[in-house]
Amino acid sequence: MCGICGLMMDDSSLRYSPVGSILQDMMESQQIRAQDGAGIAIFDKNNAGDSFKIKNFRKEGMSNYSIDEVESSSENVPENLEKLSQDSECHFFSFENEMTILKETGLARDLDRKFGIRKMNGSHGIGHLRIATSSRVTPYNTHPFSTTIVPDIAIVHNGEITNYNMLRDSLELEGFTFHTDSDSEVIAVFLASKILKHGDIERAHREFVAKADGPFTYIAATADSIAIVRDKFGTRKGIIGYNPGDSDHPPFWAMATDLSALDVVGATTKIETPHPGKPRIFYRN
Amino acid sequence: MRLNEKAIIRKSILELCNTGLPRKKSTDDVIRTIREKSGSEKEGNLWEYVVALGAQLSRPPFDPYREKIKLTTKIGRKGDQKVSLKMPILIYGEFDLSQSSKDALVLALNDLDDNRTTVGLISKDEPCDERKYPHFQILSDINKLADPDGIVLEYIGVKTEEKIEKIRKEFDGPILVEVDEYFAYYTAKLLELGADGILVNTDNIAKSEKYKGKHAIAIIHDAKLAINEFYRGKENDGACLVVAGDVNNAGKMVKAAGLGADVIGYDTSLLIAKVGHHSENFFDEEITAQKIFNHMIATKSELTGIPAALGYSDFHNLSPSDFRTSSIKASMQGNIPLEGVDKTYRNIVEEILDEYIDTKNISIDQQQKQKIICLVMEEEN
Repeated sequence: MCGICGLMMDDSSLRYSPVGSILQDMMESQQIRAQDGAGIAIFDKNNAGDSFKIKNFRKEGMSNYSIDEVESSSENVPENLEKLSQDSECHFFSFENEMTILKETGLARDLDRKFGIRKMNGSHGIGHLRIATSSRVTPYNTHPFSTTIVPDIAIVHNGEITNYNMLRDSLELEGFTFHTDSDSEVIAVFLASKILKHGDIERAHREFVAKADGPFTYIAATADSIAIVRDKFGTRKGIIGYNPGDSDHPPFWAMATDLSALDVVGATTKIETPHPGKPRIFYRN
Repeated sequence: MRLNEKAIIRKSILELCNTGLPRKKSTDDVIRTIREKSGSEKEGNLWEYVVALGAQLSRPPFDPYREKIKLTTKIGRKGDQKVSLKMPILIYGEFDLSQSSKDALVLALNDLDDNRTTVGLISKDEPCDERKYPHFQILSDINKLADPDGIVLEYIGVKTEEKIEKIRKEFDGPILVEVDEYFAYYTAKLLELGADGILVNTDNIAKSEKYKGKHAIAIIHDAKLAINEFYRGKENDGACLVVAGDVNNAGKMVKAAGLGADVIGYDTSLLIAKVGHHSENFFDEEITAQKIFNHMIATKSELTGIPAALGYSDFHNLSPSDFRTSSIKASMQGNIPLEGVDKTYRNIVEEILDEYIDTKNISIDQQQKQKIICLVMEEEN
């Protein structure tokens, strides 16, 4: 019963779109759904550059973690990823260029207090509220998940990928690495593997829906797109709405698990439910 | 059922009523232990020790009455040469059938196809012209190739590899190879040459020296590993594992699929045709065909129950992680997690070894570690 949300600003050329503030409102409005962890991924073109950030959770004591951040040029990314993978005290967190992922156990408002989510700007972003069902309550099992395969990909997920083990085995056989035991991570790794193969994000989503089994809705973001995808039977919720903008907010598309999240940010026009099994994608202008 | 077994079940139900807590141990296990002690349980039948995990809080079952469980199976690695089955079954067995039994079988298979339950047939005979089902011809002589939908070759060394190369040039349909106990050494080569899958007969392979004392689940597990080895570092294009032999009811089919079987080589229908001929004074093709038909329809609905309870909508999504075993032997042979600990026996050995290496501060590389684990597992087995 996790809660997910996402938004894409209509005009990404605006330098200071209040993506963090809108996402935070959407997450807090769905807090009743889940209380074990909260996380966001925000994409901001102004952060894009030649270097990449590799973030890791470093274990400190029995249950505390700090966040390690390694700045890498494109040449030494593989070497740094390899080094971190051999460090048994580290858990992979994210691989970023223009994307920023922040996540922590606890409530959405605690995440904002710790990282100042409301002050963050960007073109689009996704958020997640976690209730732990199949893996432990730790920061590294919290969403969004990204991969070490390609930078700037993040997913949030509500539901269960029941054939997770089978998908994971075949991706590992192909040589792709997993960093957690969460079934949600398989979405990120699968999409990244397909982006690497053919570069078509819409096709990647369609291929995932064809192969994945179980009840789920996920929102996935790359640097240029955000998509909400429901399982082929539509057993998990998902809703999309549009806020035409006013003096406070520029216009944006929003998507979430509960209608309350759209209501709270005024995304109450052009309401639609994504068709089961058909990815609904919004591209950055 | 004996009186003491009935008492155990009654006690177990009373316990649930009194405590409201789930059982710590399955009632079947207690009964199984008693049977083992009394010597009435057939030793070594590991199928009995493998159980499906069932629905969990985070994995709600699909409603089998609302959502259809997909059983459709494609055999073939290339888009234009695939054979499609509506049920993952190829009728196959080592029975010599009379012509009237064969006719009853054709009748049943055609009826099944009419009822959207297409299953295939593997046979030494030439395909029948009136067939509606896919026919896989067992080909010993390449010159006797008729017009089948698929071919089955028996592995007899390098000659088979040459045959595949030759047949592949003129035949677009799927080619399956029935392998012997040494499949691990040559499966990759067969797939490289264009074979679409392998067929393992667990009954025959279990009789070999190499698999002496091992169960069908070990053979299925190893055969899947051999196919996976071919796909290391590349995308799987659908090479198929057909498992025949000791898989003769729906429960075993589901377990075999979980261990990696894509299609089951099923001999029970042949048995019905044969028995129908021998046990009745008057053999009626239509009655025998109806029996085979009914049997397959019942099997079809049995096959969907466990995948639905596990939250799947596709039969082929079953994996070893959906099963648990109370037998260390089964865990070792099929890499199935053990009940209670949710880890395979191999995982446990790995953990103990890691702890030992850490405590003793031993320097050891990954290859050496794997060698030790294999030695321990081999000895235990």
